[in-house]
Amino acid sequence: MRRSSGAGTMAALMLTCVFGATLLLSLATGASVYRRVADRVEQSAAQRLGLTYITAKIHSYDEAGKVVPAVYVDPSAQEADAVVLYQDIEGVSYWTILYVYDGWLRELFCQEGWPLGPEVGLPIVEAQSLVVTEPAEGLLHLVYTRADGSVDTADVYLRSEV
Amino acid sequence: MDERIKPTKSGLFAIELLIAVGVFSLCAAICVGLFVRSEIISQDSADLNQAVTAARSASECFKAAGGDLQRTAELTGGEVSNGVLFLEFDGDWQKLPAGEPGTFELTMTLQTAESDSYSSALLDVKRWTRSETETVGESFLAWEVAALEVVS
Repeated sequence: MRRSSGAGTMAALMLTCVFGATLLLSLATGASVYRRVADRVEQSAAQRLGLTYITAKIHSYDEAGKVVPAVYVDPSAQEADAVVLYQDIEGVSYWTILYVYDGWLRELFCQEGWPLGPEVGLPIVEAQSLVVTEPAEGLLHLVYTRADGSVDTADVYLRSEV
Repeated sequence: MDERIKPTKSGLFAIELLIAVGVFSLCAAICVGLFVRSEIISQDSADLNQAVTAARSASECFKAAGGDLQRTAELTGGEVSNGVLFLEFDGDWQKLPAGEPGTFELTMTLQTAESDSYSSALLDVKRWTRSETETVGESFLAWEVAALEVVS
């Protein structure tokens, strides 16, 4: 009688162990999947916030001669690429400059020609660099490096140039 | 003759625990299935996001090239074979050199020009699954792209 009771206790103990192991396994699986899903969402958001922000801005300002790739010189005399978007508001000319400075993609909106430093621009999202080239007439090739070092590229064709 | 085996306390406890473990295992199996499904959906969503970005860039190049596939290939870094533009990407959506088979493949097939100043192409993005025995391509993005002005 005692032996049978001992075997029952052992079985119960083993079942408890199985129960605990299954619980831990499902928790670990769930946590792992959640981490991967969260990482992907974060990466997609970083891409959307950076590159897609620039391309959307370019499209919204797409008028003949209003989107110009440019180079700016920061206070340490380093050159970096930028996209300059021109617009006229009530007869006054303004520009919006998109560029990467001090680890951030920034946007500077001011009256055309104002001597403002790159640090004044509104930080949009963390980024490493932005390179703008024009491989064909009216086609801008953007190479955007995110804060984590991932590189995204995009081409934007300026329809108004046609 | 009418002797019945009386269940012991530990035996009852074991049966109760067995049922509990069974129910929990069933729930855990369902949860793990849902986790796997969410993982697949999340991966598909990320791939679709990247595919849209790649397709948008290719479309912009097609427009800039005035509907010329060869010129589009030069701008995008792809290659034209049998009248179809191929762009290959690895699993992380990094562009591969022309001719190298990738996990993702963007193709552009020129449509017949409907007028002298209008050219369009079918853009398709496929995910390739390669095994030792077979290679299966699954299309998950298809667009029709038009270049309004054809470069003669």
